[in-house]
Amino acid sequence: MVTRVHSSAGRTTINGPTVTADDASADFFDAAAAGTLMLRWCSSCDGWAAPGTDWCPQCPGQELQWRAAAGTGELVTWAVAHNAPHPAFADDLPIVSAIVEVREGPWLNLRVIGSTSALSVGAAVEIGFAHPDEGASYPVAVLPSDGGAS
Amino acid sequence: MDAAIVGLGLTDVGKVYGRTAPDFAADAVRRAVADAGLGLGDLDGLLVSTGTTGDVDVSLQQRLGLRDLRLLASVQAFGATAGAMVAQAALAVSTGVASAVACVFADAPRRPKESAGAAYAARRRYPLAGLGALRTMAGANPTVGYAMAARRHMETYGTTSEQLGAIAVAQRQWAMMNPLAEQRSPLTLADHQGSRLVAEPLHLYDCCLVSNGGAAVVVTSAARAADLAQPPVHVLGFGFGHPGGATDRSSQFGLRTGAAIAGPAALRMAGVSVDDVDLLEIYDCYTYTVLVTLEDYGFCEKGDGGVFVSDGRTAPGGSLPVNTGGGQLSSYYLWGMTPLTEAVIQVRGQAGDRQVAKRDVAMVSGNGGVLDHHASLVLSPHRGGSRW
Repeated sequence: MVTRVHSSAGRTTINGPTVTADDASADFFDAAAAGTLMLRWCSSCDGWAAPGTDWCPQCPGQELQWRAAAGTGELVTWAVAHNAPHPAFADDLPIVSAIVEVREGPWLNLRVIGSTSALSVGAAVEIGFAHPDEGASYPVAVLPSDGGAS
Repeated sequence: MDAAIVGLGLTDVGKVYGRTAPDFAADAVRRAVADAGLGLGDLDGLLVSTGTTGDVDVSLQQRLGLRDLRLLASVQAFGATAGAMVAQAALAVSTGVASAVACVFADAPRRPKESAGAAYAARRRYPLAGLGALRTMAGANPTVGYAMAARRHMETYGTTSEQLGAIAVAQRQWAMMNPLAEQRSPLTLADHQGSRLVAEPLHLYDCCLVSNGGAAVVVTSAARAADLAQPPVHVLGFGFGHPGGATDRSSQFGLRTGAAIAGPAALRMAGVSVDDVDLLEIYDCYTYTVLVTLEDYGFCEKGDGGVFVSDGRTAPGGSLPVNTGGGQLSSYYLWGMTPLTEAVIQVRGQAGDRQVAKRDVAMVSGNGGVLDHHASLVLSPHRGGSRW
């Protein structure tokens, strides 16, 4: 399905699978639809964790809550997939999959939008959001220098 | 530890169609027991790897007609399962829980007229709901995960694709002497570099085969092993390492793996050091895992793995034989049973043209998930505590 990606660098379109929210992820995907990345946060130690983390690894028994993140990060590593990891990517090959360290510290596995020539360790990325016609919005990593390509 | 591998069973492996994973599992156990000079009725323990599909389970007992087992369980640590099963069996026979334990893995993902890549892709389940869907949207799969690990190693230490290719070339040289190997035609570094990109930085020849088949071993006490049909392969040590998810900046993903925990633990239990190791059978789902495991075990300094493997050191005639049957890259892919079966063959001295000269200590690895699970075994023709 063709999906519009919005970031401060501009708009582009990508293809990808359709994703749906469930009860545990509704807050995350609602925020994504509004262009905000939510992470897990501990009110006791002010520590951050990746989505999907229930309890603070540092504070005994402390449950984490959702909190808005700044929406920037840097590349830890990446791969350029020439075989479609899901059939819905077939028209976009090759696609770039990366681990992004967001400013708050957690690592996220994100698809990277932009030129592969700009890939390097520590490259600054902006968290953009894909807004498909069908299904939930989801975050992607945008290399700001060429995020305006379409 | 007072345990030995006394039986080895390997079914027809590779593009073998028309048989299910339980078919292969039953056949492998039957062969392993016969190889040991035992009957199925001598088994009182059975450990089954549930594999990629869960098709093989504890109902294998009924299939084999085994009665009054004292140990029966399915074991799942992905590519580290073979090591986990052998360790559990060794503990069982050392403590008297059971006296003869079969450990088995089997899988049948390949279908006629279908590529190896399609074999797994066709039955992969993609989470598309909830937070689990984020990895699907990111384009993550096991090959992409290992490609990201290899990329981080390259960017950090200067490891090159040619160095990864040297591993594939060395293992093909071993495979050419292994009648059990699927890929036995010569492979050059140029072939590796020219092969299509699957997930950059990984080329096709950085990736393992996909095979149908089954493998089993029988473990019993060292004392009993001496009276059986085959030269005993003593289990001197084992260790495991599970680093946890690549979820934040504390992760060493791609740089340091569970091998750094498992390997030294296994060597310590065996009372030997890396300098005593004569050959290695390393889980090689991708060339990169051989390189990073050699580093993590301590055969070279961290970051020097690329240089270490690039001069033929691990190839036939080299000073440190590694993956002497061709490994998962060139022989057959049966999860952790690939390195384990070849280690048993070598330690027994039954490897024919590819037999290594010195085989007092062999080290075997298993690796599962995307570097999430690691198992190490130390095997020897000599009983633990003895000198050689």
